Amino acid sequence: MRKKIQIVRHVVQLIFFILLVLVVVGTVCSFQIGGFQFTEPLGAIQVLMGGSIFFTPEKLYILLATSAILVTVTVLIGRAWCAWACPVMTFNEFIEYIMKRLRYKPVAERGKKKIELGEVRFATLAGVVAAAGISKTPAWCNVCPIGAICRTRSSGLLVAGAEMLILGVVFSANMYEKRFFCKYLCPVGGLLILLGKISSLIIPRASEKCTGCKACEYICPEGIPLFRNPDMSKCTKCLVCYSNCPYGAVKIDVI
Amino acid sequence: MITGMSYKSDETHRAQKSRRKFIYSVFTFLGLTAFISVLSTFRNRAVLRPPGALSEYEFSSRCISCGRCVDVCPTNGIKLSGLLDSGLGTPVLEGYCAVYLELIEPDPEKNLKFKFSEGKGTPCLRCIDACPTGALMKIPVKEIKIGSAIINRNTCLAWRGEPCLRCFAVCPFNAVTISEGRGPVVIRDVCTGCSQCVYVCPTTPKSIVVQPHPDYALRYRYRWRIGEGA
Repeated sequence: MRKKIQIVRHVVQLIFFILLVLVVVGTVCSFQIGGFQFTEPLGAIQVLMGGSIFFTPEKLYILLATSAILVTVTVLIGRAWCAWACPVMTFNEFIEYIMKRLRYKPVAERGKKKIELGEVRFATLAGVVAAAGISKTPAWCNVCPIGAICRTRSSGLLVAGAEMLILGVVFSANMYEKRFFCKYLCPVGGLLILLGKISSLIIPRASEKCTGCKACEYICPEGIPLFRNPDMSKCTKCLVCYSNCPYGAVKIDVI
Repeated sequence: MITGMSYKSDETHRAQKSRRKFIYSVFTFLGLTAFISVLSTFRNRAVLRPPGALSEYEFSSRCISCGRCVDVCPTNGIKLSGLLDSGLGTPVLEGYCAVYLELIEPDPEKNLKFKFSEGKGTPCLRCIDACPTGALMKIPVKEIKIGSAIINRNTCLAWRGEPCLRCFAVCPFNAVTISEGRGPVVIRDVCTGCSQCVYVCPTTPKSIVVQPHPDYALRYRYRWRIGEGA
């Protein structure tokens, strides 16, 4: 059961990847399936910073309503988007799997002193919003890997040189530390963390069986020391701790 | 005594670490802000945008390059420009715009028939409906200004005395007329730049090309602001 939940998660990820990258009209940034419309909140924030949308209220309301979907989900169950739906996380986990099969160990895990970046993603988030305000354009969208991974289809798969360049950078960052982009740089992740500060529907916790072996801190993609009952807003609800705790000491608090 | 000292040095170490993290954050913030702000200035280009695009300034201030217009276009005419060419992932009109549902496959005969039954056409303009941020705005079909066509008289078959005039037949807006009974001429004010004439032109390279409007930066800026266009 504990291991199976990861298979369920990977299936969900795959479904979302196929949906978002190949099937839907649009990309993650904004898409439509039937009558369902979705906009990515960071894109919406950048457009709002651009300012000109306030001249056309009808489009403004649609934008706010469609971007409220992910905001609501995140406020309720936290940053689950990252580990269950985001195509970049799926891509990174796939790379991670391949590296594991090839017996390649990321540089940061080789026991040497690694650079501790801390919470740079809030700085990227602030930078994205500031740049959108300064340049009056959704400036982040130019380089966003989440958009790039979806745009590869629209601009013709492998011919899309720049998209491949961006993904290549994200890919090589994985060689240094697994899920480097998601862990340190992603401004969308930063935004979802801020939104998910108040969420408390699904939270992994250490139960009485916990021996404090610190395995969870090592296993967790976000490096959350679960045995200390820390702040869980960073948690992506990937439940890797739940599946891999050697003592089965992680319980999931639902409400 | 010794433990006290080690505790102190531990604290300074931690303070150093957090200071270093703060410096990383500041550098990331400044670097990223500067980089993507400068990068996005390359967005304002004289390129052919999908129909209904606002002024280039407003278009690029709203387009989040989500690609919905690309996916709904029935002629596959809209493409997302690559990062390294102009436009930074924003959509450009590479093929042709059907404008009316009836003209999704342009063909001189079909278009001639269509023109006789004028006023009955159903506008396609799905890209405008798909756009989530209003980078493409709903405007009357006749107001659309993607660009305007230019004819190269040196290579145009009609101007060289051969029978052709396919652009004249295909133009849904009657923007191509025959000058002095010799060859086609584009009325630039009427031309919307839908590029259907480019699609049917038989010569290689094409003798008729659509160029971005010279004041592309101001395409609709004033008009839609005072509420006429929308």
